[in-house]
Amino acid sequence: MFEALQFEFMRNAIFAGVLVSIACGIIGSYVVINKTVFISGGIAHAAYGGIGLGYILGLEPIFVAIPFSLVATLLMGFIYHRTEQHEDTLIGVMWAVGMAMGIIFIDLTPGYAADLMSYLFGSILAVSTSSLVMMLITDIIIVLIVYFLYNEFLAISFDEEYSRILSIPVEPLYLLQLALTSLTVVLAMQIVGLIMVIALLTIPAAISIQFTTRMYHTMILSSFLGIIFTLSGLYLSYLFNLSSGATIILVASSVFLLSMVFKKLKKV
Amino acid sequence: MKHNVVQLESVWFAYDSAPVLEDVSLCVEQLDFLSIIGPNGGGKTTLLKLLLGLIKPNQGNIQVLGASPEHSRYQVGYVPQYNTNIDPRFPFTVWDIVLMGRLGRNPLGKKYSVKDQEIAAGALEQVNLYELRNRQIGKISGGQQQRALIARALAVQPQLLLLDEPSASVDSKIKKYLYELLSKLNEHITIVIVSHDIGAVSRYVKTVACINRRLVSHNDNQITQEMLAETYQCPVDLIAHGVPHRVFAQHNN
Repeated sequence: MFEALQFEFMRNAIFAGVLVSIACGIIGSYVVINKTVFISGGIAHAAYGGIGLGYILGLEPIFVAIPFSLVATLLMGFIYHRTEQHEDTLIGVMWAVGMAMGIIFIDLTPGYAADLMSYLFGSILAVSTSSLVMMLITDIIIVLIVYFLYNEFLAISFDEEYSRILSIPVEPLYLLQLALTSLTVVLAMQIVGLIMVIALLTIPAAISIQFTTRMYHTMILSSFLGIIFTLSGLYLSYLFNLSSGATIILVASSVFLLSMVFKKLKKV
Repeated sequence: MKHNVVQLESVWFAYDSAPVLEDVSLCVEQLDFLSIIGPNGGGKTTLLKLLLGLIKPNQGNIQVLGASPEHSRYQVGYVPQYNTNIDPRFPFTVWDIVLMGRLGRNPLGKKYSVKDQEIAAGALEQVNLYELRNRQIGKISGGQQQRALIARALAVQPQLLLLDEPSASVDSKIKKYLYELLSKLNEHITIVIVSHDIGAVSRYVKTVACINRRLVSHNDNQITQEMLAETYQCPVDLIAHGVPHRVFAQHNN
């Protein structure tokens, strides 16, 4: 196994997995608890529109995807927050439209542009140093913001109406959470792919919630689980010559299934 | 001379076109224990939300503790109606919830101080829930959750406590405990509750206000048959549960 570590791409892949797991573990805990999983899916797919826009403008796709995604996110969040009932539909629309826009833009781009598959499943084995640096910066931003606003975020997650009474700026903080989600999704998407970002946001947190009583424990455990899944998934994909992203997801979901069974058995 | 903790003058409120509150004028004196009764949809919860500054009246003036509701709500403790929405999976402990009451006085991003924690501990002691402080909020009983929410309101160190249907989903033993706790708190804190529980109301409460879009009557806690009929707009038969007590005023003729 350890001979794999000689290869720089493998070391980078591991590093990438760790960085993405930290961001997804922290943000994913909020996503699962605030029940914004659907919005996060919407953000992820809409972000692809930004990637396509970047290609057609001849710019580095990620630098267009970030503001594009942010705008789409804030729009979705703003509307979803105001009227929770039917705006599910709006998110579904933006989800599909963003994706379609991205595909069309790439179709229209002269010459070769990265294909859809690499954004769906990422290229963790070919991650660039600049992506790693951006992910590291994102992690630092997330940790700092969550550290300082931990109490306020907790209050909003538990009881939004009461938070208003406490004069906590509910709407801006909610949008901030979504903005951080957007940032995480777009950057992680480059590394591990769109499908896997959603998996890494939801599965580790869903497992952790069953075993923790305090939110910051949930976040730490989720990050840790993400790292375990990524590393073991990478190892298994190396052993059996499988797609790394898909393997990681299957490892994560197997553990999720096991954890649910374990919880059920514990009750009996 | 006692001054007014709450003052409503000619308050009108409508969510859309149909008015929910019409021309309501009401004063609550310091250290009063007021119960607001009335039919569903009659505006009771709306009144609480107005007092908390969550909504603004279309017309009229509201003063709480001598200032507008938004400016005074850091001194107001609120206990919302028990809801079953607390997800038992969520990683929030009773301690986390009660400490939230301190956020109103702290600037954004400030960590809880030792004093905050002492106040939270004190609030938990007052409702007899300190031993359960590390339990997950979703995994304790409904009555215990209600007490946790009261502790959260007490952590605010309020001068005014507002409770929305505090005994709606609890059994009579806990109900008695709850109202006795409130009576004790009333020694230092003005209390306003919204309640359907007419029996408990007449036993523990000092003043009663009947609201059905308009303020039908507001006086001390003798609830008369006439008062109820006017409030509920239909003849109401009172059934008193549990502790026998006089619900009807004696008709002295």
